[in-house]
Amino acid sequence: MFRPPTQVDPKGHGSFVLIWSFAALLPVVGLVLWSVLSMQNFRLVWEPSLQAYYDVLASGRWEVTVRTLRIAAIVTLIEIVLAVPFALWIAKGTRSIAVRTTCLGLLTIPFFLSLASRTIVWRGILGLNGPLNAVLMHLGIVDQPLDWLLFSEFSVVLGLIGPYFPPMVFPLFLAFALIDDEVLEASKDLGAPPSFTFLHVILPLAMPGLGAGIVFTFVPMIGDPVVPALLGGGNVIVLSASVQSLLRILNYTVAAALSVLMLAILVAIIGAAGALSARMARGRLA
Amino acid sequence: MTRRPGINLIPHWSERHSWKRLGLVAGVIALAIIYLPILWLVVMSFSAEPLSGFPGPFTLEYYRELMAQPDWIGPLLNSLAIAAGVSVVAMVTATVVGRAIPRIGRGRFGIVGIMLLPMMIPGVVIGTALFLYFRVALDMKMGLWSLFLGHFVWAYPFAFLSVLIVALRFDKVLLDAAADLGSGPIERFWRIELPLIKDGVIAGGLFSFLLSFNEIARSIYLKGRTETLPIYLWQQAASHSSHISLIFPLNVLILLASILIVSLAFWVLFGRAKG
Amino acid sequence: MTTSKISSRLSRRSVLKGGVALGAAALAAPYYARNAFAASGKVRVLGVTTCALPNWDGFAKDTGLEMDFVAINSDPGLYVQEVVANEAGDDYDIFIFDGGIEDRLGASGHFQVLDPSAMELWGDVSADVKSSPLLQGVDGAQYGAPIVFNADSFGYWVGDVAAADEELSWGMVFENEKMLGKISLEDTWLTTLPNAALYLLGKGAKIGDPSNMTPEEAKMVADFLIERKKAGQFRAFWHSYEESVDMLGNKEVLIEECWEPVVKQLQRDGKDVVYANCKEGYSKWMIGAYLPSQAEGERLEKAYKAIDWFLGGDYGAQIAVNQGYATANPAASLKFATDAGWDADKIGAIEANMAKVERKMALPHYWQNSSPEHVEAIEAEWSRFKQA
Repeated sequence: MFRPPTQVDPKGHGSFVLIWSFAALLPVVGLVLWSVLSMQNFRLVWEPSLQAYYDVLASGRWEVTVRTLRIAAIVTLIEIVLAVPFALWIAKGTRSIAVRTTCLGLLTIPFFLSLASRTIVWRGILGLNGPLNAVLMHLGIVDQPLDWLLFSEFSVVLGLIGPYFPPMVFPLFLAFALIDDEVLEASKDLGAPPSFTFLHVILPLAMPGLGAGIVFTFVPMIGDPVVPALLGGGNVIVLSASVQSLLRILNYTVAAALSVLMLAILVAIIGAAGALSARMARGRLA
Repeated sequence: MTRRPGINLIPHWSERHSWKRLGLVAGVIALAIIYLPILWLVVMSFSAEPLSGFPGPFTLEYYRELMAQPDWIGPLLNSLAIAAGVSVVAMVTATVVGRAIPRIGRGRFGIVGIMLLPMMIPGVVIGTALFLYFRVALDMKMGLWSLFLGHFVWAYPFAFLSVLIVALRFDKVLLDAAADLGSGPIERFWRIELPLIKDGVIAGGLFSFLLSFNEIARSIYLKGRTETLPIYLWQQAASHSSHISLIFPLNVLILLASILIVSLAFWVLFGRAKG
Repeated sequence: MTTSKISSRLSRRSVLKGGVALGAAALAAPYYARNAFAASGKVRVLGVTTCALPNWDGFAKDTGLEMDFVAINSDPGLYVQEVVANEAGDDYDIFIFDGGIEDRLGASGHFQVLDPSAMELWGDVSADVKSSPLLQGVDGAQYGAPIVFNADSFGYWVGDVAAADEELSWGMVFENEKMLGKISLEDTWLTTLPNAALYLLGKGAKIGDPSNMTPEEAKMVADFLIERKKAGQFRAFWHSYEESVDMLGNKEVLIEECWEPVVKQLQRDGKDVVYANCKEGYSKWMIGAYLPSQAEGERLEKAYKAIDWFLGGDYGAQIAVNQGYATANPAASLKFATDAGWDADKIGAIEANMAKVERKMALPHYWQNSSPEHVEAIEAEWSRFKQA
């Protein structure tokens, strides 16, 4: 058969997928195994049982999955609301390369600082005797310091917004920047208002960017061990805290079961989203 | 038809519309949330009581203490070396696999899913899993290589997706045209494909570098005897004594260095490409 | 790959040594050359940072050895994993970790039994300290040498809570209607559950050993804590030293279950906080030095020499002044500081520390145990409390 010249050599990426499977996927398979087996002195004991899953459900530990997903979803939504207009503005709204490069640079620099030190300073700001409460009391908005500003779900959400904003902006920016200006011009020339152009031209073309942005923020936030620990003050128990507590006592089995549960939920969510977007894409083409 | 996309394109679409103001406002809000704690950190690094809610009295005491205990330099160099390695390898492999995905007919979604799977598991669990897999199942000793591998598994999906976003929009008719004009596969890649997917590749490399540089959850288990900077700081935080002199001034120094590096890198990558 | 394949692989791990792993292990070999360091004058210690000194000049001068102190967090899971799965004994001459760990790693053959005759100062250590269950294994053998220890309670603001030298009940922390939302706890079952148990014990509850509770006892304590949590008693939980300093120092809370150096640091900053004297008793902990079973010959000699130094006056005096913790041989610390001509206030601090330790150790107490028998049930109860 004639092979078109642009066909990539399947061996190249094929072998990488193979290596990837060994380095990254075998431990994931191992995880599923540990959740049904038990481990003694770092040897697997071959007695399959679903006891760990029962423990996760019976002890109420499963609630961490719901809480973690809720927090991650709220923050992801906030990021989308903030990042879509901003990324569009960097990509298409400014003519100046200097402004654009500065914006991207400003989004890159915070990453160099450790998340813990960027986060711990919020405690000083949000505390009972911190400047924010002082301002609120001085203005007479409240007469008692607000205790829910810190060590609450509020402070965890607030603390997560900053660190997970750049990972949402970057893929969106890449996707927006790829949209041809002529396409946008054409839409405008045909009399479409900006909102129509945005919803029916820009957004569909930028879907891969939005999808990647959600994966870059929602998914790592699920496992974030830093922000909830520092700003939740032990009142907001998320997945990583629960897992860490189990690993401290070498309870691999329940830790694995809890992680597998979360993994299954995530795979289901992402699978559903993928199938949905594929169907939407087909519908548009048809 | 396809014009050269990317950063060096001067936009002219819809300059009169108010969405621009919306974008600016959203950006300012988000950047304020990001930079408020960072500026606070800078101010507090000069304050006598850095963790309290109010700055002052000001002092250089903590910078002196930092300079008096240079133990953090070794871990910092390790972190930089690992991050650089992870970044280069992730950039190359993400390009190889990422550009191939749009050309695969079936099973595309499955392969993407497999690539992303490890990022859906909390870091400490993946760290433990990799540790037990390498150490107990394969009987290998941890070291620089295992840190590299653990960071790579973490960073790769980010690099891969960055390339994929761009590659999905790449028009391969261009390559066919080039082939018809007699250019070889290597020339086609370097002169046509790479310039067009460049932004995605750079973003992927940048992501990988930064994710590796700050990685801690996996490193705890995979470090062997190699210390990275986040591990070093974390261990200091566990002692029954203060390590303020490490966190605050050290982060300010890293901040200054990163501003320099990022400005230089972005100027080289984007600034010069103008016109 | 099938599941049985993986498990059989785990059990046949030695066979694999000749396999693929060899190549990669060879790559890593420069970092881990076995015993290559035995010939050099270095002592390699894997230890918790609590017992590390800012500099080891005194150690080098007295022993002629170089101290290579590698830090590890006080996370028992991670430590057991390092020692058992990672065979850290190949790379280190001494393990220093929270006592109780020898229950898990002593009789199992990962630590070796100490030889008292190998240490000159062993005879000077008081019998009470040496015989702590945190140094002796379940088999009664002496695995550990005492490095630092203390009896923990809670810190509080003097004006807002109580007078400075008043004898207080743990009820100030756990059942205090006047201080709702003004209290923070350490975020671990290891200290907080036994401390609450100590309080309930004082109220007449039936609990055998607060540091080794049965699942039923742990459930009772967790139920009590959940009830108090619902009443709004606790503001937050801390995980690290810095957090606990910041929380009490900024008056985010007025009472805090914490380590003694927290209060010392706040006092140095001029804050009016004190460390409570407890009616019901204290939570006692100890960090011990243990010898890996792999250490022998010259390595073992150096390790004993190093442990002997930890038992002496130089180390003890530094720890007493910097952290206010107790060490094996307080009289030697005082003698060292006097002979070395330290300032009067430092010597005073050592003397005050000695008196404090003596008073505290005389009160009822329990030894914090990082590996209680029903650790999984206890952790599960703690998690239930945290979720509530």
